[in-house]
Amino acid sequence: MSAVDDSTGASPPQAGGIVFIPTHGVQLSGDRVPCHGLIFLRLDGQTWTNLDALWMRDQELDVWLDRERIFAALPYTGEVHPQGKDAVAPALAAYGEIVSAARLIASGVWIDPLHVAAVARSNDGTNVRLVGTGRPRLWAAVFGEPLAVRSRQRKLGARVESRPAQEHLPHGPAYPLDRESAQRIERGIAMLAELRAFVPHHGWWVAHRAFERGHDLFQPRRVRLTALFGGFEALFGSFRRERGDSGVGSAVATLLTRAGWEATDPAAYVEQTLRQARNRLAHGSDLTAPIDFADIEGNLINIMRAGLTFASAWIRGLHAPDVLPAPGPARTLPAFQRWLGRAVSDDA
Amino acid sequence: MRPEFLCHLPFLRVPPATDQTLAGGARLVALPFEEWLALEDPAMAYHARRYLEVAPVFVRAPLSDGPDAGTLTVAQERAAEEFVERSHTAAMLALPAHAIAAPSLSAAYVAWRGLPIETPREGGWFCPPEVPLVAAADDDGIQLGRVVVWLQQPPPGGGPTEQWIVERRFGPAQREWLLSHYAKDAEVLSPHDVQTFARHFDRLDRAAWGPRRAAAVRCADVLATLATPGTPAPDSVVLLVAALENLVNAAADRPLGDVFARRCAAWFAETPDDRTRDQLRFRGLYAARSEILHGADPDAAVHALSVAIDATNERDLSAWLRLRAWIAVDSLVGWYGRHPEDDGGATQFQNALAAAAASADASWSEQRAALLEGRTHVRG
Repeated sequence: MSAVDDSTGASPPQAGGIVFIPTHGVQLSGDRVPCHGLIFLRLDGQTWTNLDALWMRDQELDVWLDRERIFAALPYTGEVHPQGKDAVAPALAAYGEIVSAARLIASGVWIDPLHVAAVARSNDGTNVRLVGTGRPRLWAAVFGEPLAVRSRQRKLGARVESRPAQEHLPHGPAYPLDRESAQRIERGIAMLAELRAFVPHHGWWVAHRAFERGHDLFQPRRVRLTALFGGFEALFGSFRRERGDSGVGSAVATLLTRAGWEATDPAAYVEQTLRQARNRLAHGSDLTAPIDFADIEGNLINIMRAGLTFASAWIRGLHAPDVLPAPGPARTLPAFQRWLGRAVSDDA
Repeated sequence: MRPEFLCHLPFLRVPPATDQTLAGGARLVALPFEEWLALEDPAMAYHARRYLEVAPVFVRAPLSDGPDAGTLTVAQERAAEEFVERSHTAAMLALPAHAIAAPSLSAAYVAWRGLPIETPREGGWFCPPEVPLVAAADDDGIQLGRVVVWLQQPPPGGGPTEQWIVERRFGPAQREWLLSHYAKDAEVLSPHDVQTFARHFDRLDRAAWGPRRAAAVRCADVLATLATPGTPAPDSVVLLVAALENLVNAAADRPLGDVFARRCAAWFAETPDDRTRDQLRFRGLYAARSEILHGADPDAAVHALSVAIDATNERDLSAWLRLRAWIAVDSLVGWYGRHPEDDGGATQFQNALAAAAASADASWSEQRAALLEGRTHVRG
């Protein structure tokens, strides 16, 4: 279900304005950072209130007007259809490419384009907002450091609420963005476009979509981790070890060595910690054993990021250019796994 | 002190005055505004019109007794988590044609009522100065925030002032789906739908449905994903095969595609004729999955699968995949209801299925009937 929240009521189409995409999770250094056609900027609380309905402000937290909000903005010209999608679509497309590339560069939360409640604000002050089952506003979400919630007494009629001081736990790490990282993201977008043109149907894209799904905060961590493990096994091969196979842990260690990453005994981490978590999710194994799923999620994302980046370079021939199979579609993910030392059956 | 857990089911409505009894002492209700407000920030009184327009539906359930008001024990947390899980799965089973938003995305409440009234300290405070930062026990969940408050108020319906402690739990949507005008365009459950929901909730309760049923819950997760608009067809194929293969061939018996097809056919076919046909179809499904994973043109792989299952368009294919995920969940709920001792990987189910798949048709029919006893769906 999707809907449009026209906060001023029915109105005729308006000419020109700006599409604002809330970028929860992004921690902006500086202001007005350009990236892939969008401008990342900060709005003060008062300006922000012009973009959202008043009733949204009157929620649990008392920090509405003190907080700056980070948005990605894209001017539009012409008229906005009452559904708003014609103005918003180009901004969401550019934003989606930024999100995909950004996730391959560093850790931190970006909300997927299908979940952001973008607002098209026309030059005469009319807002058309994309909202619906998948697009809540998320204004009280916390990323990075825990958010202190002050103590408060509130009385209305015969009801009195007494709220102790407490903290909101963050739901994920913040993503630091500045001009330099924005340029890296743009290079990442170019890399993805190059790969898409070179091998449009490669299994790499399946692993990449699993990596993307593993970032979707609208899924329980269980589902995100299942997606990440699916992508991990597509990239590095199965946790199951065939006769003569060095195993998935060894493949990860080989990749990290070739990529120049330093990690403490990654093979043991994969074979023990990740395997245990994977088996818990797949088979309900070891239900009483404590598992820090948040930590595993972060590490799995880091390993996947290294693997996807390195594999894309290998497919394009930036690594081992003269070794068969030749760069291109023949460099499949099973071939990549063999190159990392695994014994991979064709019956996979 | 027994707290009550209340979980919002977003984008669903029920007929007025619905109060459907569910397993475990739970109830499915359109929560009256006065009762919701008693759980909420007093300022929410200003949102009466919005709330009444949406008429939100909740599952409300008593939790077991615990030592401390304001803090759930590990067992209580697990029970609350399972109420959320079962509510979502019951809705997906009761309304198979609809995309059901996960309750964990919206709001839930834990309420301790009727506590001794504490005399306010200076300034009127009657809560502790602070509550410690506690990581959510549901560490594979989706919560975005929790707020714990102390309330002194007359109970809904009137009476002397009571003291309550309420923990408000918010998913990404927070209160938005309780109060937004677009949420009133929700799916209206008929009285029959409500009873179907209750029947599935009861089955899920008997199956002890929850994260401990990992391999089965994964099928429910896939069912939810397949029902989500925008999920690409190649991803649907890969996800469904992964969830099913985890149940039909966790030991990776070779050849993978043939074993997958034979066991899936033994599971999903109703007759010997179906079995032969389904084996070809599931072989096609596995082949499509392999083509997609190994870098072939996913559109071609999806097209080949569509031909194999007689689908004429992507919508047909999507419906075929969703129905298999739905049948898998339905039959696993039935299985666990009769075999609560089976483990999270459904090892006993897997063994019974492998034996049925290795049998000739006459024996297979008998074994399969025993395997799927307790399911609600029979393919026509």
